[in-house]
Amino acid sequence: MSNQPEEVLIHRAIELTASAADWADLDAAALRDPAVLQRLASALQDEGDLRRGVEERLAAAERVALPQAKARRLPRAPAWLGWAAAAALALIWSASGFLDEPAKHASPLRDAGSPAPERGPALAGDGVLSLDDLRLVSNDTLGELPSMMLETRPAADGRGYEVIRLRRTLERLHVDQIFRVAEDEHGNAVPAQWTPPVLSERM
Amino acid sequence: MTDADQVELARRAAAGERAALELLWRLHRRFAAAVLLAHLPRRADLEDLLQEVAVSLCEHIGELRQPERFLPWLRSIALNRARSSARRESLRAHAAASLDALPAEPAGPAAGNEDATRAAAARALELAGRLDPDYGEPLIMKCVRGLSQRQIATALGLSEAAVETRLARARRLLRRELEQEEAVLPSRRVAAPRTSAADRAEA
Repeated sequence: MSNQPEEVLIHRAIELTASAADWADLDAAALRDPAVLQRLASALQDEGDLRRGVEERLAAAERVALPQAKARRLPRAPAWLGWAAAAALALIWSASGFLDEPAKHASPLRDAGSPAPERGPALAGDGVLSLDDLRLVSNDTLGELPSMMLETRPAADGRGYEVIRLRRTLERLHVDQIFRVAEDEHGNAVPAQWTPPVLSERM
Repeated sequence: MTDADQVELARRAAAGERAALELLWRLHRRFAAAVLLAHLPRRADLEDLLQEVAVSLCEHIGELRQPERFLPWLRSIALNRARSSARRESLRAHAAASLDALPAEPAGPAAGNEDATRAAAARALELAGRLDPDYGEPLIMKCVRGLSQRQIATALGLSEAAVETRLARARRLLRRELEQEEAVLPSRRVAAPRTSAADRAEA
């Protein structure tokens, strides 16, 4: 005797997982109440109907493929990043020293065979920008905004404190050209010469 | 394919291997479709929703932390899609109810004109979908070829014994629903094909 409820016995009979004890119980139940066999038959019919119904709908699943992998695109940058990139590129270009060594800093976008213009655009090869390297046409410090305290801690030698602050200076730079980061047809970032609008009144 | 193979496949897919993801999807898209069927608003398009699941899978597979729990993870994606669809359907139904002049939907083919077997299958599936999802979902999953009771248990976070109990009860509930529908709406019972002598004479 498996002592399972009738619904479990019927389920196991349908799933073909009924043990000998389950079948014995089902036989005994059918002897007491012949309607058990009718319920078993109905459950079998329901199972067949449901399987057909599910199969018919699931055929649609076979038509659904994964979407094609997309080429990696640059994440959409906030608007101010365009300005920052433009300024950085302009500084890099100005600081790259290509005036002295045009061949060394030639743009990779330029035809190898064409002569480098005397003051053509250049991309920083190492991407490092050091203020010491800047070769601006002119650079005036106009003022300084209030500094922002970022971190303070006792100095390592025990004397005084080490303070990390952010200083924001206001400068007027003069560069020959400004570039923005644009995308080519493959989604790669490329510099594009750009004529900026007037941002503010002259200081 | 063994369970260990599938876990390895899920691990490789999560690591970014496209071929592994493709194979994983082909193996389990019917499972995802079954989850949608169990929770689907009746009017929603299974194929469209499954496509949404595929897109979501591609976008989030890198976040799969436990490859051995891929099925429950995929189920949660399908569930979210089904629930989103239910919300959309609800809004649409609300909007439609407020429009007096909404044209009536074209009537589907009468049951009597359908193949009796197909109609019975569709009716069984519809009623299974109306069951409490605790019962309807495993019952529909059980109809997915190749999906074992153990895999259903894993996907639902239940023991195998609990799944068996739910399946047994679900069968009984489905039978009750079918009997109630036949009692209330005898006209919806599928008519036999019109092949009587009178029909032939009429033709």
